[in-house]
Amino acid sequence: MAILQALVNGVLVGGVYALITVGLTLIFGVLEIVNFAQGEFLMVGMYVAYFSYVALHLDPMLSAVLAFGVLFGLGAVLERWLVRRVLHGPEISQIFLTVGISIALQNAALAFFGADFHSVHVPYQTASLSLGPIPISVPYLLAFAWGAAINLVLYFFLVRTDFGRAMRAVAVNAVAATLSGINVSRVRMVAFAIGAGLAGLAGAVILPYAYVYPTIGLQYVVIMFTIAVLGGLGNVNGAVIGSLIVGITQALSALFLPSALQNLVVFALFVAVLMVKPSGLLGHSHAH
Amino acid sequence: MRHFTKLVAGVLALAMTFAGLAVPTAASAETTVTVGAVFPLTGSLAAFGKTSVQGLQLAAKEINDRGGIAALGGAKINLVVRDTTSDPADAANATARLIDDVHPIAVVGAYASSLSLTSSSVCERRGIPFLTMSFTDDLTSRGYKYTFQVVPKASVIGSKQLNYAVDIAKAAGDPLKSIAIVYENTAYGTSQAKGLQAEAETLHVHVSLFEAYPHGLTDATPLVQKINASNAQVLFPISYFTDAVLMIRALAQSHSKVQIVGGAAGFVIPEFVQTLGSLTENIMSIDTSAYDQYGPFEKAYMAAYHTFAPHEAYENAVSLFAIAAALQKSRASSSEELRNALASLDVKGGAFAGMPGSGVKFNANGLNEDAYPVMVQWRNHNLVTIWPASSHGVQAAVWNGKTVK
Repeated sequence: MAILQALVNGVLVGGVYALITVGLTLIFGVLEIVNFAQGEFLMVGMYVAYFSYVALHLDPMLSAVLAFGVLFGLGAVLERWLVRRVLHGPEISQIFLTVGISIALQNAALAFFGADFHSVHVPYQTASLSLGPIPISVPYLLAFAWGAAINLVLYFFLVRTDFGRAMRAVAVNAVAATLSGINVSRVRMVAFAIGAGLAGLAGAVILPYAYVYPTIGLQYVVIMFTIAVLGGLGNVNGAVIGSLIVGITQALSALFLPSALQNLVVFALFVAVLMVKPSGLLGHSHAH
Repeated sequence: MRHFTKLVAGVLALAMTFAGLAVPTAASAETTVTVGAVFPLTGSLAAFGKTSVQGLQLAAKEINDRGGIAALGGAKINLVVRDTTSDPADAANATARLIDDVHPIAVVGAYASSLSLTSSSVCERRGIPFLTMSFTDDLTSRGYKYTFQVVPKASVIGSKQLNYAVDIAKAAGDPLKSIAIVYENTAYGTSQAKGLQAEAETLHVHVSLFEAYPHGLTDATPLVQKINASNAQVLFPISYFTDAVLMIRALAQSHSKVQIVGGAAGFVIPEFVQTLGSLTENIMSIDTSAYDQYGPFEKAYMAAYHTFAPHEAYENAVSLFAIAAALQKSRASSSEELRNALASLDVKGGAFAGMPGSGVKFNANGLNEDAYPVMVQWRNHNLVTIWPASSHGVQAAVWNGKTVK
């Protein structure tokens, strides 16, 4: 019973993790840049959902679309004016740039929105469905549904559309993609924008069970990186599988171990996987 | 070149204007008393730093509007605020810089125990009184001469938290037999949890769950599963705001009916009810001052900031009122004289009425010895004081849906 409950919780949380992580891994796959500001994109998305709720009484499940749009725009602008300039620079400048963006966003949020904690009130916030004797949290279920939908859409976009194929081509070999007539700069800009947009969407979707303040991104960024690297940084399917593994591992290990050691098993697994496959579960020597 | 000259002339003119403005301030320096305020205005504790400073600013305004410190020729309080960030090392640096820059007669700070510990060390070395509403026992057990703690200390808070719960349960005819303690694995969480655990042993209350968790949860469902499995009557979560919110929502989703008794901090701030709404109903928390007794301060705070005054706002204001009272009594013109005046201070009522025990009187260690914690409860989106029953103006407690006479 307890194990079944933990499994259900783990799958739900894993679905949410997949939504949070997929943007990070997409950006790395196409631009080969590690975006340390991804947690702050999530934070901005949460604020978009919060203010939509306050001003327009919009449910975060709907304003998630708006959050995607806002972050897509922000991502496009940041890529065009900042990220593009360091893509061919040394890795250290790339790190400094994205860390810089993250600090700037944290402080901008502090200056404009204040340090207070904010959240929303929605009717389903504390509701749960019963699957036999097992309660299933509704806000987690909705976030899970968004995660599943987004990953399906992203899969079809990358596999079935021309632009998606172009994106994968750039990920495999940017030079060859250029020679085949693909506008690599544009593909990179759109990939970065989608990656940022997805983080924003994720932020909105988790707001009903979470809360937002300027440095909330730091709480999520560790789990994002763990999952992305475990699954194979740059591999979208890997991020989904990594998310489910981490979600289920956390939930199950909490049954047998003290909560303080919740992440012990996750990181032990993480190290074990990287020892056998240094590029992650589905990672190749080149990003796909 | 001409443009450049113009620019330089412009900048110089501007600089002189400001220099000119600075002159009258300098001239009036004789009639102001500078008090430093060091609080976390950035980082994860920023929300608490902000409310602390708001309380201090209101207190300064009230003192100044009433004509300043009469004994010092109506000297006005000049409050200088600095950001400690949420990092103890930065707190020490910020405090040292503040002292060098503006030479305050005293410093008030720094909300969180970890920040106050480092800030107070700097003040001790410089011989500047440091007044605080941080809880940890360490502040006034190091033999410092310049640290003054206006609130009861953490070990007392922890033990009273359980004592009061036991008393209320008994009065409700539902004796307390088993409790769950979950705490964040930080210095604050661990020390308070151990205090609670020791007290439970003395009172023969069974601790059915004693669980640490990493601060900054992203998901509380595994923890809540354990809380539910423990079948405890009462849950003592020792958390700041963020983890508490995740926990309480997850408890509601699992249809838990456990009585929650929080440990102040995040459980007694306006955001708690703004975020959790009616889920807060009947949640209890230990607290260090009595909201219903804040008097005019409460009204002024509500008018200025549109929320009730959280305890850190009021208690920091109390620190400043204590400084003003000591200055008035002693006409102190140096930090040393002020320190001696604070050490022998004994004030009651008025602006100090919200401190249970009704006043401020420091013992040899600098602890406000008459202060004791109270139990408060969320009722219809407001905090009311419910225990000890002998305290001034308490309302009846509600325990498991039952009103306690």
